[in-house]
Amino acid sequence: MTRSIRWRLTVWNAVGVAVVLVGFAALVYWLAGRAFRQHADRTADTGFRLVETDPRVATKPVERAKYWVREFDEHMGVRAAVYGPDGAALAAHPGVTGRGLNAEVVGRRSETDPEGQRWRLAVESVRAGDQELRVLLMVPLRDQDADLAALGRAMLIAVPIGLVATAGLAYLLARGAVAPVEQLRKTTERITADRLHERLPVRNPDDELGQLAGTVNTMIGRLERSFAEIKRFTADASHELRTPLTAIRTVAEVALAGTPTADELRDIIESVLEECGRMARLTEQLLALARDDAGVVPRPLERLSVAALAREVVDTMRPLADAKGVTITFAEPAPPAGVRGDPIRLRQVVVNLIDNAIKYTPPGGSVRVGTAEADGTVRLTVVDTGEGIAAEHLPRVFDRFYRVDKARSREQGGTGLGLSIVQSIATAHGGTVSLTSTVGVGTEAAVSLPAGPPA
Amino acid sequence: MPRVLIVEDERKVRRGLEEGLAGVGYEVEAAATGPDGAQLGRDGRFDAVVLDWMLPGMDGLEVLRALRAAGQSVPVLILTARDAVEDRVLGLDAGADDYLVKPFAFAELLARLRVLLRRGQPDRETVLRAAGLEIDLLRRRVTRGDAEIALAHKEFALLEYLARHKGQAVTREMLGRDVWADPSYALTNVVEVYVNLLRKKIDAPGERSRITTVRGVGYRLEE
Repeated sequence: MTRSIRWRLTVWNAVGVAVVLVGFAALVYWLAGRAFRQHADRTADTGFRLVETDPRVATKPVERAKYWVREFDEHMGVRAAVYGPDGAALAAHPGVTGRGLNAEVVGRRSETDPEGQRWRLAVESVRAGDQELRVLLMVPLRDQDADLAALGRAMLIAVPIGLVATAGLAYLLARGAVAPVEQLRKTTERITADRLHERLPVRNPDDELGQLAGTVNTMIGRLERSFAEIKRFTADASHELRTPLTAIRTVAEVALAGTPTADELRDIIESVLEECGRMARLTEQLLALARDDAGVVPRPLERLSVAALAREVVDTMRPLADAKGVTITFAEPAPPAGVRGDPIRLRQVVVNLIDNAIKYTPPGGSVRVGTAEADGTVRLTVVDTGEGIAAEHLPRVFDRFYRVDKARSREQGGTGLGLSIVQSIATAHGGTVSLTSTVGVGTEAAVSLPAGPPA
Repeated sequence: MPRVLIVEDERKVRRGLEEGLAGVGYEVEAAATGPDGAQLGRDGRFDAVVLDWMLPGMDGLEVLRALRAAGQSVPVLILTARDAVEDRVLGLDAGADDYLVKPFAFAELLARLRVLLRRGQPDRETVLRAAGLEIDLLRRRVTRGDAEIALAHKEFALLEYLARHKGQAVTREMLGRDVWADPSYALTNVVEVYVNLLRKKIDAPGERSRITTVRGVGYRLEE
């Protein structure tokens, strides 16, 4: 709890406010003290001016000095002393003589007398006719000190109260600000794997919390799609594995129920083996896909030429096209484009694409394979004059187990994973794969890979 | 006849291997656990060991290390359902001679075992004879009687591979991997098409083909 944002905000707030308040109080206290001293100094100035402007001081200095000393004491509570040019006192209040103060230094200072009384001491030269008198004034600071002390006491009470009040306010503010986060956390916690359709409420999409909620919602959306994908994939995979299992089970049970001849038994065992082969291929491909998904690189990458790879695969697969009456050609690029990759996996991309092209191109048609390099991208294209893929199927052909013509694909030994594998290999190599098709005209498959150093 | 030790805990697989290997003439003994396998293998009676990786008691690698520690240099073929490159490396590092991933074709196990048993005896044959054909490996010529048969490069490689395994079935996966050096092709009809091309060239017209299709397995060249 002490580590919660709410508490940290409160504590920092309180510390900040305390520093400001104490600093402010100290400043006010100091300024008040200065103002009081200046007030005392102004009182002294008034006194000096009174003596200075008295015309009779020049003629009767002693008499006037006595008068002013008495006058100051009676009306202003100021103790005074007036000294002649020789330094001898013309007149002095007993509180000045009693303390043995002299007027040698002109200026102002604060003094504390033996009774603990504070005074503002001011000494000034005053011209009276042709002689220079020194006037010493002791302005009492008693009232000002009392006021300052009262101010200090008021501050000692007000500052802590202000501090507590602001801390409390800060706590409430922090709690108010953090409450939506807490709400967000609780709601997010409620959203589990089976409630991924839920979303966090977004009160104001433009503030920080609204943006956070929006980001979390986007993430939940991605999770929801991944979960749906995994669910579908698991269902499809188990379906794909069940099909051969059902076939095996059926032929074996039927064989056991009847009295097959040796030839019939042979036929049954052969068909069981065929189905086993299908399952073995399927599990192997699923494993390869899982590995690509996990980003496991089974072999070190090599520099290789896509053009050389494509040429080799075209040469190897030409008899396949010939057998079907399909022409296959390879357009030589110049210079050969190089990429970094795993030759075995990339060859599988080329093999799968060409195999598909030959499979879906009727006799008399053609398959054109080409490579090109542009803007740092190596592009492999396989263009066929086959039957094409209808627009509604195109977005899904890379989905695992998605087949345009289910019965036919399976009959031809397809696992429904060929294009998924092409895509995952291309992605693992930092590339992309795309398919464009027109029904009745043909299909173009294109794989783009980032160009590496020339092979 | 070569003696083969099978160490495999899965009863059906063990029995299948025992019967299958005995059926082609090997003397077979079998153990169902790691310690039993290590015990049997230690006295050096065997010419080859087929060793499952996942075994109760001691796993295949531990059995293998025990055998090597006891000074046995007998060739060992590891069977495993784990198909990760690092596992393969681990197995070969521990002293395995070959590595076969389940589910394997029995034909492939036989082929691998033959290679292991031939180990140490270099293949000095330069002319292979099978199915009435003479295959001259040095001059890369194939003759049937007096007639020379012209073969394309891959057709020759395919025939050579079939001839080295004459009388035995080889799978499409083996051909894809060993003849085309890439298992991708095994998923297409490439192997089938090349076998048909080869058949057209080596078969005499009107006769039964010298290359038999073994349904569910692969192909076999006559002896």
